[in-house]
Amino acid sequence: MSFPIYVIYSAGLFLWTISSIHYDSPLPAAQYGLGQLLILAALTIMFMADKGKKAIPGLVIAAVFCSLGLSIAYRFAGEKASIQLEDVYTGDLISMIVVFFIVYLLIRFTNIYRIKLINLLAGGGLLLAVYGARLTSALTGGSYLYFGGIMIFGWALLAFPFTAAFLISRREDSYVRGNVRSLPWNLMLMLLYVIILFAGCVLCNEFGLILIIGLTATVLFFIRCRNLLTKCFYTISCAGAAVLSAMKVPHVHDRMQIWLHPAAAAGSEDLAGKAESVLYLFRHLGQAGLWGRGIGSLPVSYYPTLNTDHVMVTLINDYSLILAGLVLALSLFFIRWLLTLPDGLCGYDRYLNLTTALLFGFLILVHTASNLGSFLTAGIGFPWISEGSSVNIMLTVLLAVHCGLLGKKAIS
Amino acid sequence: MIFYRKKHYRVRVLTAFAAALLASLLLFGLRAADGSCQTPMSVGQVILSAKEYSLGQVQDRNGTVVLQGKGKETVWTDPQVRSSLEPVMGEDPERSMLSRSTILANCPWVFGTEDNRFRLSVLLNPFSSRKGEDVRLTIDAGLQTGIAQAVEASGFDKVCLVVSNYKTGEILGLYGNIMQDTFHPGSTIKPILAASALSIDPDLASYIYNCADKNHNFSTSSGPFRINCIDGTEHGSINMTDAIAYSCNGYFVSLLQQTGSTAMLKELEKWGFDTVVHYPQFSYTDHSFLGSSRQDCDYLLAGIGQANAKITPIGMNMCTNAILNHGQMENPRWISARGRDGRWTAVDGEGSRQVCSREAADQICKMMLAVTEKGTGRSFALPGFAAKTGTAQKSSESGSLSEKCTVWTTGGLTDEKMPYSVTVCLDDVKSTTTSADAGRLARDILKLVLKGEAQ
Ligand SMILES: [Zn+2]
Repeated sequence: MSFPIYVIYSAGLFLWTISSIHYDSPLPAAQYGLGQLLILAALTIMFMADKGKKAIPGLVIAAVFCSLGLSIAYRFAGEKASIQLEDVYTGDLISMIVVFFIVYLLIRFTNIYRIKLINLLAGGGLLLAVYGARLTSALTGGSYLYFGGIMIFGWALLAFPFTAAFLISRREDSYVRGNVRSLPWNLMLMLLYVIILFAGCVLCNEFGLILIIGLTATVLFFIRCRNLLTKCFYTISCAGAAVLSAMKVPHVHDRMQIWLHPAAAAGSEDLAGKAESVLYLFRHLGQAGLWGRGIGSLPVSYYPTLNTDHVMVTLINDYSLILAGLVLALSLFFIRWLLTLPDGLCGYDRYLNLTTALLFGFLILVHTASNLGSFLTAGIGFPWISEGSSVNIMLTVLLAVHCGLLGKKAIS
Repeated sequence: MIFYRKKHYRVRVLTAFAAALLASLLLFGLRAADGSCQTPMSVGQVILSAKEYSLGQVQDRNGTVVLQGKGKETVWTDPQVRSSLEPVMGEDPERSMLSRSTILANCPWVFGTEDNRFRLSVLLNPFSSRKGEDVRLTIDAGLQTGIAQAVEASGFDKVCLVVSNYKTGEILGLYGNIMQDTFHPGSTIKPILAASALSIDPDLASYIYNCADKNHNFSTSSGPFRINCIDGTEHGSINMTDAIAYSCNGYFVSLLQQTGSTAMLKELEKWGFDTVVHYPQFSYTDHSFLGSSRQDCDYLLAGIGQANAKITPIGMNMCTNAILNHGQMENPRWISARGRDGRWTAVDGEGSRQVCSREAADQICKMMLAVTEKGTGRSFALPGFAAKTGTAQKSSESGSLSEKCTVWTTGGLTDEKMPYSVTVCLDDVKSTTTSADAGRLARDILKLVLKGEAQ
């Protein structure tokens, strides 16, 4: 049922987008069309391969997001319409689909992802990427964001679930001395790992990553930890660190000001530019109305992040409040689907899956809330709708992980 | 499937996500609904994107419709008002919205940017075009017609002209692109320099300079630099009043050396030279004095309104207003009210700043009266008309001075019951045209304003 609805939706979106913006070159439209066909092909293959059809609902939602991403990419193509496929969303889509099938097959039919060495390498590699970014990459907008040509945000999305699942699912029957119940060593190791990771993120000025990883790790910690006192201690230290950074780190302090008093921030000289994107929806929701202003109405010259960190603003303004609401509703279904897992999988698989779901959930939540001005502005894109090749590819890996786990046989 | 088991952590995680998402939507909704995040004009407000809109009414200060939308078309009521106002109106939002130097860029609601799309009629018909709200300007349509006729009768091609009320900052009439085109001010910069010098040291009011051949070589760090008076005139021993009345270049170059450049440049910044100034109702091309140059000769040449000294007609008018208004520069305004369905709300924009001492401004004002009584402005005398004329040679593209000139007259009525000022700038004129031609046009416009007021 969801399959034909998707086909109608994507075709409608394609026609709407193409008729809203005309380019001299036929290239952007051709790339959009090609991308659309690729998604459809991949979806069809999975539809036939997945016997239980358990993976289909989530994949269709992912396809909905990807085709919105194609539309957004077409809308912002402008003069940069490129013949190089690797520069455009359709090119990313090819990598995403290839990577999806490889990872899906590996997870579903092999157990190599559970090998200790691979997980340790993932954990170590992430630290290397974060600290390496500080040393090797150039400053972009005040942050060091890339390592090995890939955003460290992408590296983290890929490696963190495996590392966290590995650390947290170690057996608890051996303890470092002391009160065995208050803090098991597996949790302690994870906290230690996260702290080292955070230090690297601070060096790189990558606060969006700290936020997402921090929230995810916190939920994992709370689910795994059974001691109330430890939980309280953890909460207090987290809150303390947050207050300290809000007061001391100018970057965070500014965002705090904007969050609490957007209108006042627009009036102050240092914050005016930064508050604009937050204030946009407050001021202009009334003019966008239910039906939006039409695709292509917000000039990108004002907010250069309209196709990445502020894609929700674009959705509401251009594509209508209705579509944005639909996307959020689908997001909840998607998180629900991600959290679903067959009974009887081992602890490692369950935590891997949970971490994946939490990451997606927090990406969507933080992106939406910060676009609406309900939370600190964070430079975080919406999965697949925002452009950002490395992050989108890594998210596809996580999608494949979940699909693979869905098809796995329970260990008896 | 574990999922449906209650109290399982996965159920709790999903519930928490749903709750958090709902909370952020709710917080947004509450803040958007109570309007606490609404702010006055900013870049965000200027973003305009309605492809389908019907322009609201643009009215003059008396409620006469100047321009309005008929469907998607925009219609000017009077062709003469159009010819004088069009350069600064900014009917094409795509082009005008990028800068705030047009009228409509500063009242974007006219384009329907504030049209509420949650009204029932719109929800039922989402493809209806956005309806712009109305705006009332401080500009007088009758005066605008008169200005257009006077400019046409004068026969000059490139005319910029501003009429304003120096006590309120309201712009009453204009012609040409007064916001963005900059010109050398020539001698019209001298009253500003004199007022600044008196603010630094009031005793300079009695400064005397001997305008003789030998005293026209001014010492600079790169050797003597010669600046003559116009046509090689020698004014003899001359005080400040006469230096303004007869426009003695030597006096002002010497005065600039008396005050020293640091103090002078600091004073000039108050007037808006070599800095960036924003006003609530528009922005214009900022004026410059020394610009990026640090050379002594450029500093001295700027003292006679050449070199890097450049100013827009609106900028010159505002400086003149400050002198006439005891050193107080009122925020320039051209939008007075915003109208929705016939109900008008005033648009804020008032404010002022002191650009020189009150005593200095009043002294200079008196000296400017001498210009029309006995000096370079005798040919366009009008009772109580304090003015200053100026002629600047334009430099050609290669940098050398060309045959073409820019001529100015700026001034206003000292009678505070008729607080009107006028600035006229004629550009690209041959050397046979003098600043007195600009002055006569200025006088005629002032008469128009007074006639309009008498009616
Ligand atoms: Zn002289």
